[in-house]
Amino acid sequence: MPKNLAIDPKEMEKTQARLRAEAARLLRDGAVTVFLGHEEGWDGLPVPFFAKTAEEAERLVWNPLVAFNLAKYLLDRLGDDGKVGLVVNGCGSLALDRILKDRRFPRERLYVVGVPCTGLLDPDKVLGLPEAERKAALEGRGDPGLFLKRCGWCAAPNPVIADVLIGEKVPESEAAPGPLEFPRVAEIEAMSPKERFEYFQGMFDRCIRCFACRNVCPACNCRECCLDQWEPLWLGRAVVPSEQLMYHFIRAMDVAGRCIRCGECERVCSVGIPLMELNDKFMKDIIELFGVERPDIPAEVEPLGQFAESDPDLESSQ
Amino acid sequence: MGEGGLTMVPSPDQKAKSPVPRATGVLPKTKVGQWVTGLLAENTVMAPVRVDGKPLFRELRRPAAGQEPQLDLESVHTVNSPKGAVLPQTEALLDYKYVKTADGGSSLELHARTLERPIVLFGVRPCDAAALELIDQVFLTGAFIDEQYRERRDKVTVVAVACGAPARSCFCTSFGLDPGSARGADVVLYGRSGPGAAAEPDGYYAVAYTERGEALLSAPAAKAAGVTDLSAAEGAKVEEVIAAFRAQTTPLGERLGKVDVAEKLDGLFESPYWEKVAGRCLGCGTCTFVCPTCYCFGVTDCGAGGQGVRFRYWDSCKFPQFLQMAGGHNPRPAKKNRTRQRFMHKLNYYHHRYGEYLCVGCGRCVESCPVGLHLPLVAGDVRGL
Repeated sequence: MPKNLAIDPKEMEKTQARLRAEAARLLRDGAVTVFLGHEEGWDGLPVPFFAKTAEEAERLVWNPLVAFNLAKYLLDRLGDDGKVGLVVNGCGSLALDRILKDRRFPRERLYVVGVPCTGLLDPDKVLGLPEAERKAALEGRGDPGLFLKRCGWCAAPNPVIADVLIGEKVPESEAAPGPLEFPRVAEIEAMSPKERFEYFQGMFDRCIRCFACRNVCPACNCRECCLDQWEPLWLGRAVVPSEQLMYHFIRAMDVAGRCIRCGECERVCSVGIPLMELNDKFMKDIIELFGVERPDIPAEVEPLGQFAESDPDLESSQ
Repeated sequence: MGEGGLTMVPSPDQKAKSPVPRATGVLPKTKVGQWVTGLLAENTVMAPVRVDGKPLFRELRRPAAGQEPQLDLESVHTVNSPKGAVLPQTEALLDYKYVKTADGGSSLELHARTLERPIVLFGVRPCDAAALELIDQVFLTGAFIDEQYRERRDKVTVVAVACGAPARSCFCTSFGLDPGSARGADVVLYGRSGPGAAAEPDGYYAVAYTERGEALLSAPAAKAAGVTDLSAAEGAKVEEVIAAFRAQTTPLGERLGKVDVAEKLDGLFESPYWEKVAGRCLGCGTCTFVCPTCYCFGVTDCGAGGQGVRFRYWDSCKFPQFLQMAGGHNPRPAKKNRTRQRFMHKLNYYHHRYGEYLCVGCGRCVESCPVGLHLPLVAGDVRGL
């Protein structure tokens, strides 16, 4: 991770200008039919944006709040065959890599513009601030607590996928993955089974079952989600404690070993459920049980996505 | 819009729907908890509380002896709305059971579910109180009256609290409401010191607007908690305070202005705008579930071995499966169709049927949509199309 998380507004402005120019060039030349980036929404919130002309590329923004991972939107483009441009920073590239390694979008249909990154701010925290503090934060003079949680364990300051790079690369000496630590998981593991059950039940009790956590997740990319199926009915439509646990454990189990730890599920949860606690539990298990050092970095073969003859379960089942 | 026998009705003036005060009491700030505790003896009480830092509208548990429930009357809006009181997210409708008959056949026994305790919604914001009336129109007027809904609704008393400091995302004034509106409320609490502060240091004027509200104020629970009659000297001040609350603007409402786009939308069903704006929709149901006026639901059974429960549950027009047909056809196959549906419903279809918009400007979609695709954005955009 970068030695110091930092916001450099001047550098970002330069990046924005180059991004617009690059996207405009790609669209003008017909190298891509659409370019996925962010534009400024209401109140300064950057929202996903799909530029289709060189003129529209002028609306692209690159600033400290471009937290939203765009790769998931590629799944909306499976129905056509045009080439797609996409801007990613480091964590955005991990989300993209997740989708590519899951074989959900063809690499050859992509043109990836990569941007090295030394940290982004959490829009939910920044946009609610009084004007002066907000300005200070956007100029890089804000409280360090305003950075996205995921910046704290950043695995890739430089994009792991890019056809072209915009901006200065973070030096290799500072680009090593940040620490993966799970103090909260250890606390939950220390609970008695009864305490733990009550803890999770209480946590999921306020879930409104809007599926925002699933829909935003780059690892939740199945062609058809089992949670939407009626036959068989994996998830009852009643919002009752047993079904809430069913929902959240299915969701977290299904991304175990593939979660990139971006924390978007938790960030978009309107009722503030700390969803990463469960994701982290499974990530810790993957590290300890399968010896994978960095489950948050997509690999060609995932621990739960392969068959090995050395699997101890194989012996016990024979 | 001739479809489905819809007819155009004139848009009524919201002010005409403003109820008139019938009685006023004074509620000291320190007595709120005591009053609510008293209400819990005979009612289910739902109110804004903080759960892990998030303001939620929830059913209160009975506090331990000597304790009082901790209400959050300062957050302008809870993440979820109080609509679950009249339309629970999951609501059992009836129990069913197949029983063997003497002749070797079977018959079906059905038992309707009934609600026993009355419900008091305490600390509802004016926008949310008005929202309940918008939902009522769907379930309680027209050719079909939903008896289950009516039974529940008849048991609900609404104690609203006027907003002294509207939030950044508030725009009730764009839809003919205001921070002190009494529409849909039985009692409204107005901060005695007038608007301008989220906390009310001097307590509240408790103004009853309905017979039911009047009864609540004169009931033993209120009296025991120290809801006192208004002194003659203070009487004249109440009107002023109410007027001051009602005269406030709202931050987003100022920016958006009055919304009246129903007629304009008549011609915009096929506009390319929908495809453009819908692209970033995540297809989650956040906007519809936090919305105080979205009321769509599905009905299904949960059971085994010939017996079970039939229940209804919130569904969302934002889910791709919402209109999925058994044969595989989906009339709203793309984000464009689904996004258009949500906003046309609120800003056009409902208006054609009931003469007003299906939005009260609470600002929850502004706060909660992860990608900033919310009603004021669309209402503003449509005006410019």
